[in-house]
Amino acid sequence: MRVRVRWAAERVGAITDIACFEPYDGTRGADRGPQAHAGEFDEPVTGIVAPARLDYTYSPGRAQSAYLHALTDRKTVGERCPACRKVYIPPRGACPTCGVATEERVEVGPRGTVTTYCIVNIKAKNLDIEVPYVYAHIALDGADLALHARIAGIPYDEVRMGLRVEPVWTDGGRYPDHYRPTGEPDADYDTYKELV
Amino acid sequence: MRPVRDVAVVAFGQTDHLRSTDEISEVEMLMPVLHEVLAATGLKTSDIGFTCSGSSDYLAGRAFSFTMALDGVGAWPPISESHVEMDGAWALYEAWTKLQTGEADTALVYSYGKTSPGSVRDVLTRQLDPYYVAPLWPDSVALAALQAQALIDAGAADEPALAGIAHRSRTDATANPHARLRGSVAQGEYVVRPLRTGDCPPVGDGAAP
Ligand SMILES: [Zn+2]
Repeated sequence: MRVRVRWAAERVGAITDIACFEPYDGTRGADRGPQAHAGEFDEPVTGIVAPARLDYTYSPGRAQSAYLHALTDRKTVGERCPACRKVYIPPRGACPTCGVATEERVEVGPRGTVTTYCIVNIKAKNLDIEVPYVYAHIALDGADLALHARIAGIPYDEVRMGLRVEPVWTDGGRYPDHYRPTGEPDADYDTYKELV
Repeated sequence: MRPVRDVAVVAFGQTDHLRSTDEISEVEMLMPVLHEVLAATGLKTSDIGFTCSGSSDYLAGRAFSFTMALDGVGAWPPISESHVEMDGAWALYEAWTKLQTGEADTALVYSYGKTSPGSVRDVLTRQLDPYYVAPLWPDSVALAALQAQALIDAGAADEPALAGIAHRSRTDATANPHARLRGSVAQGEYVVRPLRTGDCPPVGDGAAP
């Protein structure tokens, strides 16, 4: 059976330009058959856009679900490794160092220490925060892994390693909006050096 | 040609294969059977010469999702490790090759997949060639059907012969309490010609080291 391409009504330079193949009753001679081609094109296609959308139902699993549930009560709950005793926050169900399940739940924070930080000078799309602002790693009291969050309530150029901070929640917020200084003296470097 | 070294499977574990496991994460699904296998060998992660996993990040819909599963292995001190964006058989092949080269004497191979978060027939199309094939969204059953039809056209098989293969596999599965479908299943309607429901594998979540 002889067939020929039926082109899509609108052609964009992608495989979908071929709508389908349809029967073709012309003879081979009429279209002269295959012709040699130099492999060079006047307007080469240099890129295509292939739109794709997939919908997923994400399940955080046992450990992360417990973490998210606790957050709704404004509590930060991690899990302790039975082997190395480290408290992971957020917990993912396993200690990546020891490769064992973590099960013992441990509430940490709410206060913590800035272990490291950066000053953000580029405004993010859809984010209503004036630049410059500070984003920091925060070791919550009792946690062995630092979380990251924005620091406010202090001029950006006064944020420092060791700064003691506490979470600030907004109405209906599902996680702290940002952290602010507690006014406590800075933490000793030795107390958080393993978490930098 | 005879392989340079004989390789033996000394332990195997398998989760129950379920349609959905939405109460647990990938690592939470994998870890119990992984530890079961390690315990059976008496080896610790650090004793294993080479660790190789096979899984598809497209199933989870997130890049590098396999690194989360690695949390269940215990990769400290650093281990010799590899991942294939493929099935467990391919991971096993990579490990077998590594053993043949003599670079490792023992290997831990595992694979897992949670298809339940998405529509797996759509999801798997994203693994295809992105220029000429993926934009057409040919799903996994359709691609299998093309191959089946090619076999039938070549005279190498017919629909009853193909159905016999699925029947044989499901009969074998009666011996496996973890299998999702066991025993005979109705051939049912065409899913994609010439494949019927009974020809197609069940879709589910599970892990096997
Ligand atoms: Zn540990």
